[in-house]
Amino acid sequence: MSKDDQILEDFTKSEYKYGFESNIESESAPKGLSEDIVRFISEKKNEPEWLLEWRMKAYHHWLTLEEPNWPNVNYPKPNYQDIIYYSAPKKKKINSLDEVDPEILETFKKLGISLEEQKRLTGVAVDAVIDSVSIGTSFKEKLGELGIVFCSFSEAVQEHPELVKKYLGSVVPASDNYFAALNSAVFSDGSFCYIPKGVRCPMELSTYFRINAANTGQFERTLIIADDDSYVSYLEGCTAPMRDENQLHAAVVEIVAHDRAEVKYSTVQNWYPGDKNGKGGIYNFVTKRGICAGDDSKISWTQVETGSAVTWKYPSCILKGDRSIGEFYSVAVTNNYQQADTGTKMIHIGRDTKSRIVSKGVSAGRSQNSYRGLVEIMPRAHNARNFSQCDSLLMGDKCGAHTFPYIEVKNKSGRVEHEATTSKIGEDQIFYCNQRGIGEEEAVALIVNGYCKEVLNQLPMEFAVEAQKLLALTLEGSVG
Amino acid sequence: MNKELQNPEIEQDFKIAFDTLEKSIDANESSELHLKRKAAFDAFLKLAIPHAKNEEYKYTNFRKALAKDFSLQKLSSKSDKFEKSDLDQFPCQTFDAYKVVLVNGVLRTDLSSLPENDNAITIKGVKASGEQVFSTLLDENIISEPDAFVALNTAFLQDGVIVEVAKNQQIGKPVVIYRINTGDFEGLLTTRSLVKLEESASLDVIEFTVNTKGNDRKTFQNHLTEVRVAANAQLSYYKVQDEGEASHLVDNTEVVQYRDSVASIYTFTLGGKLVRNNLNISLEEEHIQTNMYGLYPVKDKQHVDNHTTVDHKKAHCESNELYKGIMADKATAIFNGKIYVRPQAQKTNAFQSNNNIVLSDHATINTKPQLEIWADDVKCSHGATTSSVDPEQMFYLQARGVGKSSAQRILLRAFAAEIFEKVKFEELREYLGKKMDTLIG
Repeated sequence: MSKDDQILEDFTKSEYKYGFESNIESESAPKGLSEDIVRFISEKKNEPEWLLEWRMKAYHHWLTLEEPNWPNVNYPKPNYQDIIYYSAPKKKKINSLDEVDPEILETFKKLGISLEEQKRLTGVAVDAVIDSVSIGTSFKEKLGELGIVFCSFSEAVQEHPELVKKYLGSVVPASDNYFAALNSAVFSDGSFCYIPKGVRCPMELSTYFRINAANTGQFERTLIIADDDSYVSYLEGCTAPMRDENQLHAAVVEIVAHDRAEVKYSTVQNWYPGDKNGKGGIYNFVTKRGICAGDDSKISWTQVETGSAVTWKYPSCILKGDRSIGEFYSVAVTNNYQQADTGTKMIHIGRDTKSRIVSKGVSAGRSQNSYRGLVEIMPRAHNARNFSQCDSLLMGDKCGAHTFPYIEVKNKSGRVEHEATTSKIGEDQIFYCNQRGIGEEEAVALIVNGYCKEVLNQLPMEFAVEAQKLLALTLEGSVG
Repeated sequence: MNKELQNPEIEQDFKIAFDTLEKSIDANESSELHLKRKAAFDAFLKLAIPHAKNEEYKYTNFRKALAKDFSLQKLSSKSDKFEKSDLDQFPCQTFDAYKVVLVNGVLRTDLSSLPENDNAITIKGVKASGEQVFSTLLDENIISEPDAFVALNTAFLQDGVIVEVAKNQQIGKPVVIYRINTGDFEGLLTTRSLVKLEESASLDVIEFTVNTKGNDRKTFQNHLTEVRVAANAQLSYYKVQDEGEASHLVDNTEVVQYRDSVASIYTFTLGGKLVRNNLNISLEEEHIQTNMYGLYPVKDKQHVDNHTTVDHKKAHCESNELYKGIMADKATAIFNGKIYVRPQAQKTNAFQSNNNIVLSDHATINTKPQLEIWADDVKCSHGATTSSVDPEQMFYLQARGVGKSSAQRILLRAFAAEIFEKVKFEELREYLGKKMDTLIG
């Protein structure tokens, strides 16, 4: 046991690897939130009147809401008047990567995700977001030939207002919840993606979000529309610099899949989790939802959550089209004082709809890890099928793992299965590895990796490698 | 917090009922008992009847249910019309057992067969035992979180039964408790009981919550049973709820277990318009075993809500939970099972399973198997399934000449068998099986 303790000790001492801050001059709005700030943001972005109205409506609705208390997390509530709602790097209008601020490129190099490298080697189009404004978009032309629109949200507002107007808020209405309303009022930028009919997107679309300037809450908005018979795989990954003050991240992601369309959305989330005493760290309050609007459509969420001090996130699928499919694969790792309350909602509306949930939680240190999910089979969702599995792995006796699955079935042909287990890494498993000359630390890494395999397998290849590295890093010193 | 409660007249009605009760008891205003009941009622007014926004009552909206022409101002009072021959309509009459008959919440010693001058087991009425015992009983409530129905129970309590088994005594005869609602009045019916096993004692309890046939008026029943199982003691507690079609029932059971004890709680919900069971079990010491079994075949517009909580506080304990439901017609069933494993409760084994069969497109099942774990060296798992009767199994039977309805009955009996086979008493098992056939067949 003493070796275990040693491992845990090392592990709890491991610090965040990506803690640096790049000095890019930003142009910021004053602190606080008011109608003027909403107007300021809208003006800065040169937005049309209807969007400003939409923001205003969201802002006024937000004022009537209370911050939710039901998640199984504890944190000092942010002071929403002490946040800068808009900050943009000064240099803008860049045509090629060469014009990108060298410091930004340096930042990406430190993260091991240099734009050039990715562009050359992996063929991934990267829409890199530092803070709130999109600064470099690659492969845009190539995608443009296929009719695919992949750009920053503000660009989309200017160039494709009809699409934005039609779909914005159609999946996550501005009034959906406290954080979605806040986001709707003050969102600064994000990504927009439209795949036209019958097009199979030839490459993985990817965005790197990164909180940069001090005291900036980031309010990203992503909208993905897959028209009939199209396919897209979208990747999102984040790391954030070390910071002492809690930062708020309230993003909204909306996905619309039309007839026979398929959207695969993968996330690797590694915001700064706070130091080992639980000081600092990001508040990650995200609303992600997709609607399988058309028949035979499919939305698949895959997430690897290793960061953030507090995570509140439930990527959901509304299975409206007949025979549509929703999937949710998640690995959530918490360490030190991290708290995660994450899961999914599968709302079965159409006939013969199917959903699958695989959630793997790993808690270590003094962290709390909760799975909260809803599977709802509506009366008309005949022959709906769901399978859920949520497993928890506990490392150390000071952490917690919690499961709150809600299952609501309203017809007889629905078949729902849910199973969950909680355990620690078996001593016999470690012993087996030890016997064969595999060190304790490696053995634990091996077991955790195997435990998460089912989810990691769902990630696109280049992401899977990064995710495995991330798992190893997060559980460093103990679990690989 | 309660500023915008729907139907505020519910609390008003309870207030009228409480004032009536106060007058009728003719109590000493400064007595301990009186003060406790008054405090409980004040607590109830603060808590109020839960609405659907209350997480614990999310799927069971009592405010809505109780608002519909309920005579909440009225109290159950008369129990004298009930005669010995009326007992015959209820099961397990031929049992060699200690019999406890509570009619409309009042203990009828003339109908009961209680042990006399027995050192091993004592059974006595709460009211008849005097104010001191009555008052102490109220203090027994220690594990439940502030709950409106528990407060209401304390406020309106008039009678109940106390069963005590002395140290090292194994009681061969079961105790059969009949909580009978004569159903010829409308209003409130409240009882509280205590079942206490001293060290190394053992006992079986069968409790029927039933109403007399033909009388079916809107009653609101609120029962609370405190169960204490001391070190090394063993208890089996069978709860059979077969209420009338208009009956609303809240049944709280609070179990506290100590070292090396074994408790098995069975809950069979066969009737009642709206039934809410709160089963809270606290495992205070090490090496405890707890079993919870439940079966709820429901039909028509019945609404059955089972909430269970097991709190593992110390190491080396084991809990098993298996609840099965069959929903027909427009019935609704809710299952919420919570397992808490506290940081000290290493080496805990906790298993929970909830299986449901839905027979109609208008029936609903809401299930929430919940685990909260703060200790690492544990084995905990839960599972929940919902589906219709397997069409392949139906086909198998039908291909062999078994009619559709009997095929379904066979499969449902097989589904329920896992619960039935845990029942020790043959007669009870047969009664439950037959009852289920008539309900779902």
